[in-house]
Amino acid sequence: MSAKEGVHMEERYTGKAIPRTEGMDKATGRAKYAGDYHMDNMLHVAVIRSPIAHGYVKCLDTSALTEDVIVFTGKDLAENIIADVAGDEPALADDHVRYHNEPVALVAADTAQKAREAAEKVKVICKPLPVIHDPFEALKPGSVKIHEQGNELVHFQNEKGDVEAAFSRCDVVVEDTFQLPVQDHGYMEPEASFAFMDGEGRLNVYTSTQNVYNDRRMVCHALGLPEEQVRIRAAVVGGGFGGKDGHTNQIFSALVAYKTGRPARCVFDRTETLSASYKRHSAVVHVKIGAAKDGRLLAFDGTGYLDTGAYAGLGAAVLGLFTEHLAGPYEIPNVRLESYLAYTNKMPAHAMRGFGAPQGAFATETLINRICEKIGMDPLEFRYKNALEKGSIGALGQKMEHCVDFKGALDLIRESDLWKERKANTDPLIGYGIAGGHLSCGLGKNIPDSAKVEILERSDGGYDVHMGLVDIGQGSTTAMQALAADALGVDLEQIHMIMADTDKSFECGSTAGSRSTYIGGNAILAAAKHYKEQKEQTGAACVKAEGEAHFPESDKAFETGGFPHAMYTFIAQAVKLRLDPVTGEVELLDIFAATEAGRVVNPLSMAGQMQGGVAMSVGYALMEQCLFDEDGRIKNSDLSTYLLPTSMDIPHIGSENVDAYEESGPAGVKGAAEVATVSIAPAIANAVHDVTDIWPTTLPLDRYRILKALEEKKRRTDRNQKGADLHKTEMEEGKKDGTY
Amino acid sequence: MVHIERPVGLKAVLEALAQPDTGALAGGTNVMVDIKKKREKRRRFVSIDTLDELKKIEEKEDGIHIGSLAVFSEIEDYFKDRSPAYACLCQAVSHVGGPQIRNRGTIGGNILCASPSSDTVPALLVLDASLKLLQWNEKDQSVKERIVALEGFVTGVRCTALAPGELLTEIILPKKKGMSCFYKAGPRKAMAISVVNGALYLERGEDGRIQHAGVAMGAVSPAVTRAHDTEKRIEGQTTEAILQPDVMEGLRESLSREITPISDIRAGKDYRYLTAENILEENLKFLLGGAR
Repeated sequence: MSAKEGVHMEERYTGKAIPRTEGMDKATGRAKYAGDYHMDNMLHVAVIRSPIAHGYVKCLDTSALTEDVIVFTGKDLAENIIADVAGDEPALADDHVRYHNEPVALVAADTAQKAREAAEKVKVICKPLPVIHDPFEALKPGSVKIHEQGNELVHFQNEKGDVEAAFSRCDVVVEDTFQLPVQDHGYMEPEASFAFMDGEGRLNVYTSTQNVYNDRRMVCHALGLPEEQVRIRAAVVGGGFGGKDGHTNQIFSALVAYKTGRPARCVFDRTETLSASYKRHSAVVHVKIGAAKDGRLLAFDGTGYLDTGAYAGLGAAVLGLFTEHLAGPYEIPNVRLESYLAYTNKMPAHAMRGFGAPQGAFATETLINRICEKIGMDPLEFRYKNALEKGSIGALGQKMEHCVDFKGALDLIRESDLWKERKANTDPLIGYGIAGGHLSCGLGKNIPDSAKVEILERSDGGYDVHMGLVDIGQGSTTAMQALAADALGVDLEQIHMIMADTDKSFECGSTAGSRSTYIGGNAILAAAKHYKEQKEQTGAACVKAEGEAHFPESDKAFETGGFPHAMYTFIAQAVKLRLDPVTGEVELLDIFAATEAGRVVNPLSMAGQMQGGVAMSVGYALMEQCLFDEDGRIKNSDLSTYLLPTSMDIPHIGSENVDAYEESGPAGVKGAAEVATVSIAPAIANAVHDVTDIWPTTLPLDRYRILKALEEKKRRTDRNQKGADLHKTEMEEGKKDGTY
Repeated sequence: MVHIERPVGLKAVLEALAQPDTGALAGGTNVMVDIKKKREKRRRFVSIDTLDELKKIEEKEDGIHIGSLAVFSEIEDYFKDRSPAYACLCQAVSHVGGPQIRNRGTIGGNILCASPSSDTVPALLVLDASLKLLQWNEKDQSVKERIVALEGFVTGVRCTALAPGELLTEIILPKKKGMSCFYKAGPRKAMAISVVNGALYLERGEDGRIQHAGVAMGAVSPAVTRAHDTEKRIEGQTTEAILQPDVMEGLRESLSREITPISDIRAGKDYRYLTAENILEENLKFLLGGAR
């Protein structure tokens, strides 16, 4: 049943700027996060972690512990494997530890302090193994194997057209190698969960999560329980950004609650989440691009090495999306792509907002500006000339079948004050930069991607809408409420969303892949349509109606699942900044983001998504990175050494949306959760070039290099000035004595 | 467990501090972090915040007396519209942490935590600050007082010459008639520990030449110190001379010989050398030339 046929709705809420319906609860502290749950006789769980980055555990010395604490190890699990896509990660390391701070065992005690102090007293005695620091070490023949099957997890190759031949026809070719760091999600709420056995002997868990159904699968698999015995509900979630899509904290509280019969709560502190939770894949990317002198892109050759850390998680999907997006939102006839996913002894890299696209965009979007400089073409017009359109063929040979208006985003940049004023700039320390980008919506080819929603009438005239998706703080609850209210023709307050409860909602997949509004919205519209039809046909009270939606899939497929995608969102971002010649600091002065995401359901939420994504990427560009010592241990695991941008570091962010409409989307929507993270780092790098003449190839940007470049530029300017002055003097003297 | 007592009145506070293994607790913005990171081993603290007399900032005959419990935001307010001689201190405190820390952290605590990256210590050093310290003498049941120069008081990373049981009560700034400024290089615009910082004080004589110079850089040595050789090179010069490229180059070089930066998690050694020299040049140009 298509959600589109005959769904007519008066839009009282869709498209309007509505504040969060849960806003007051969050601001007043009424909102209950997983760490807020409390029951009598509960236990607090602390995690005993590996002190080294790679080795065998010889023994767990618990002799210093007192009798009032309980220790759990992997042996207490029915199956010590996290039931995720890869199936390579134990919930608690057995005898092989693969990253610093990997969970090895649990301690439960009746206070959090006791549990933590006990955990510190336990000695994890290890026999160290050589540490693999990066993918190149990992892939070298003879390197120590982190996993039985070897350190290369995925190797992908694809060529469209004939790249070698095309390069020989190019008037300009540029290439370089780029390094991208490990980045943390930085959610305000670290991982947390609360588990208890209810009166019917069922295991209940409240968790900070992005998918309660995945969590239930993982918990059931680990504890050997049938699904009917377990109920998982999402608590209020304080941010996810991909990092809570399959995290393992809930297995810990579930294990303790199940084994002891007592409620159990496990809340990570900031050090744990910084040092041991999932991260963005660090990468080394080599790109070569060739163009004709009229600005047409002819050839693209990109290779990426992604570091997935000790366990794969969603690494294969990240590699797929990285590969798919590497060549940018451009129509290029000849594209060769190669990518590797390797294990290393770092904490696992997993889903993180942008999912592989930001790494590639940093390389490609800065190289494009190099080409523009060489052929003397405006970087915005170059992008315009090569922009993908509906019907274009993408880098992997996939056809753009859905709404595409990258040009619309570029038009908005062209018309923006920020971009227009650059011609009038006279401050040599101020620079302007632009970058484009795109990001897919949906989970990708051959990954089940659907949602099912149920609508029930309430006795008070309102409706209960049951949906399995989690609102992780992006405002999906409000968006769904708005769509449902309009579809059913009632007030917003008459819609009650019941979300993310395995007992009370159908599975809808993860809050991931920029899919929630699209898939959830379409399912709601389908359910509303079903409801109206039943009402019309039977006339009697319709107790419930159901609706389903499926994400459109690309026609193309590869051996690895998860890419390509069928639908994309497009973005162009411009940056104005000033460099401090004393310290090399990058001071952002203004940012303008233009996005094409189909129709915008809630402009307020959309602005929030854009600004949040930009802020996250400013951190990526300027200051965030996980640092490791030579033994592979993390060096910076608190917020004074892992630096996030403060409000003082983020300038004014202007955000405008292209007026577009995606036919298959609910009310024309696509999805815009992640795309804002793609282009800011290259836009900033391009603006730095505007001032210094250097082309940064590493993130975060290196101030020392900027300072030296400014110094060098000043020396050149002074020399030129001296030369000009000398010439002027000679001219004047020559005029005086007639020799000139 | 950490025990905190809160005696009322100077005598009671000093007697409590005289106990072994006891520390003073003011704003707590360093102590709390140190306890959490297990750098702080003491388990007994005496909260000194009942001592209102230590919160005052007053101008007296011999200079400005800043109570050790004065918080950064109060100090910024006090010096905001006062003589340009003290501008470096006003600028320095305005850069510490963020608004919450500036409302809670005290200048006494900032000095005594003896961080090489302290923002206030370079400014206080170029202003020739001295410290008033009190201690309870059990034998003759009296309060002992001593006044020491700040220069030399911080002896290394987290080390000072504070005697056991001593309480820092005042920071005394002698009367000054010159001008000063402060520049900070931090990894971000707020809540940032200095990667390099620098304070400069200049006082001209009647002949227009620099009579007194004070140069202190932070985060480039184990303890913040004054660059006396560089100061001597500045003294006796005219404004025009100092701003000459070759003289400036000589001052930069002199400074680089007086600092010993290291590479650490926040920055590399080379960056610190270069930025320290840049800050000195920038501070000189600002005070002598006018524009930032």
